[in-house]
Amino acid sequence: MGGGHGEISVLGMNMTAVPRGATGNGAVIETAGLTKRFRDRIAVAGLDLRVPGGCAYGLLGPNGAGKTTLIRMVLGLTSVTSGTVRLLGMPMPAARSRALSMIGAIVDEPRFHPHLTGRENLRVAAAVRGPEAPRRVEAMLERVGLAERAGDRVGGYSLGMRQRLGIARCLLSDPRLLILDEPMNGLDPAGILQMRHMIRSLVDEGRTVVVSSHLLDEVEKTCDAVAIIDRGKLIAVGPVSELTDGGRQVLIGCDDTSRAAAVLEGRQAGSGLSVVSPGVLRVTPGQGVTVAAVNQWLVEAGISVDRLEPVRATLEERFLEITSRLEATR
Amino acid sequence: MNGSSVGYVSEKGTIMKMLARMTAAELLKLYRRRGLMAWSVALFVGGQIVFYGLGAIQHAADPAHHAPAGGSRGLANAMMLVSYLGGVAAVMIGTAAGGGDTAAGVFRDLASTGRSRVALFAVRVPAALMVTGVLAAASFAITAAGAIVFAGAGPAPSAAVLAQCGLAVAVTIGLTTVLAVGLSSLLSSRSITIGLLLCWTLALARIMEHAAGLGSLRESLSIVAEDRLVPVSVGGAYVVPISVWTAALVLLVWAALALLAGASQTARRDA
Repeated sequence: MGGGHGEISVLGMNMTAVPRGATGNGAVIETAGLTKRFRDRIAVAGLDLRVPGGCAYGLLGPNGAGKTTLIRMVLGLTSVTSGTVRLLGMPMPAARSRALSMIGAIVDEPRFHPHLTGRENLRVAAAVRGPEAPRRVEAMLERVGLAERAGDRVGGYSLGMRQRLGIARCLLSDPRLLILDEPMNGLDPAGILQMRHMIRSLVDEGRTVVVSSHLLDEVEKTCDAVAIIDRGKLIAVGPVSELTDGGRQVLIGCDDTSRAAAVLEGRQAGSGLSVVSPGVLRVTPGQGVTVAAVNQWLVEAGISVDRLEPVRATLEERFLEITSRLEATR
Repeated sequence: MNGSSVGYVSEKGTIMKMLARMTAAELLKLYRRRGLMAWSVALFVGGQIVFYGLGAIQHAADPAHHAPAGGSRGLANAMMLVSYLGGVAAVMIGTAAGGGDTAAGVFRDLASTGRSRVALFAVRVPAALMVTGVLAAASFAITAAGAIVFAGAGPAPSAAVLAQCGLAVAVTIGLTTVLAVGLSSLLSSRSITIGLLLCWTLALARIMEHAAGLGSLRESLSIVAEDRLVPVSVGGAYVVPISVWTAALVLLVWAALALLAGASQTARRDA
């Protein structure tokens, strides 16, 4: 199943949309038929992914879905069983060195030499990067808010501080693309908010940030577009706004819910009719049925309508819906 | 934001600068390990000081029963101490250099920079050699000084003998360091590497050296080659006599194999 830039594709349903911030940029990551097999277990199965540039892109999936394996293959950290990868338009692994020099990545939780200070860890990382990287160490420490603790050993850092130091390490190379694997893991609410702002500021600078996460809420709040991965397969891809808009459910507040339900049933207004709370009905309007028509039918039947509200499904709800539908087809 | 692609590409002409930067980073990783450095200094230098100190006190207290701490005999014993204790320290330092990134979990981050993995491995070797080299030099300086100062009434070792001994120490510690870097990079485990190398240098290799049934196969043992570099006047007769050139060849092969194995595994392993 493939999905592309500007296209939402959920189990065969296709819609066109352009992720915020992605207009006019080429794909920064492209995979075709990417597969990783560990003996008799397939971790990633024929994955076709196209990540547009200039946006925050979420790789969403439960733990063990294959996100980290996908990232490791993309970065050339593990061999590919079959399929191809292009990074920033360059073929991997042929152009590995050149492509990766423009990328900053944190795979799994950020790890450092615990006996070195934050500054020393960055100096070590900068030495491996280009000649300009060592000159960026202090600025990056400042940027992630670690300048005051830069002289402390990393062994004494909290996970949040290590996450920020990891971002600083990624930024040493002034990358076009950042790949962050579960960057919110273990962070407290303040840390999550800080990380979200940092990711958005990186995108605002024109960088692409790929965020792998199993935290649907965070991906929804942080990312412009998302690819949902489960059991090594891409099961949905597209802008977050489109994914969360997929249900078309409507909440109806009225003075007589049983009569309203009878009217809507008689009109064959839609499916999933149910009373969700006293005085509130929920319905998924059928094909060609507008919210205005629903309102008109109820008013004509003498029912007083005080609320007509489209339900915006959370990414979590959509994720569960998609995965349960997928489960049913298996 | 400009991406650092220009960085890697434009520094093609300055590979040496890049390697120097990376080696300096490896050095930083090593010498900032306080525990490792403290124990290494103790093993390299402390052993010699204790040896000569005790020997001098014993000789002063009872010259009839205790020979001078220095001289040729003292030098021979001190050389053995450098070889064994310094060898243990070299193994610890070499494995820290070879397996430190993997143990800390940062190898993945280094590999994802796109920098050549062979280069990532290669810079570990000079860094480890620099650390063990400095310590071995200090240790041998004490060894040589002690042999002269505490020679007593007997003759002090000649400059030529001391030079040969210095070379033997440098080669022995150097090879042990290279073996440790290569093997720990190959096995990705410091503890297993330390165990294997200590077992090899302190026990197995010595047993094989004395196993006459192995015949000329014993000439390929690294310790046979290392012992060949120690003057007979200091180390005594060679258990397996080989020429200096054969010894040099054996040492080169051992070093090359260790480096090849370490580099190959570093380049191929999943990160």
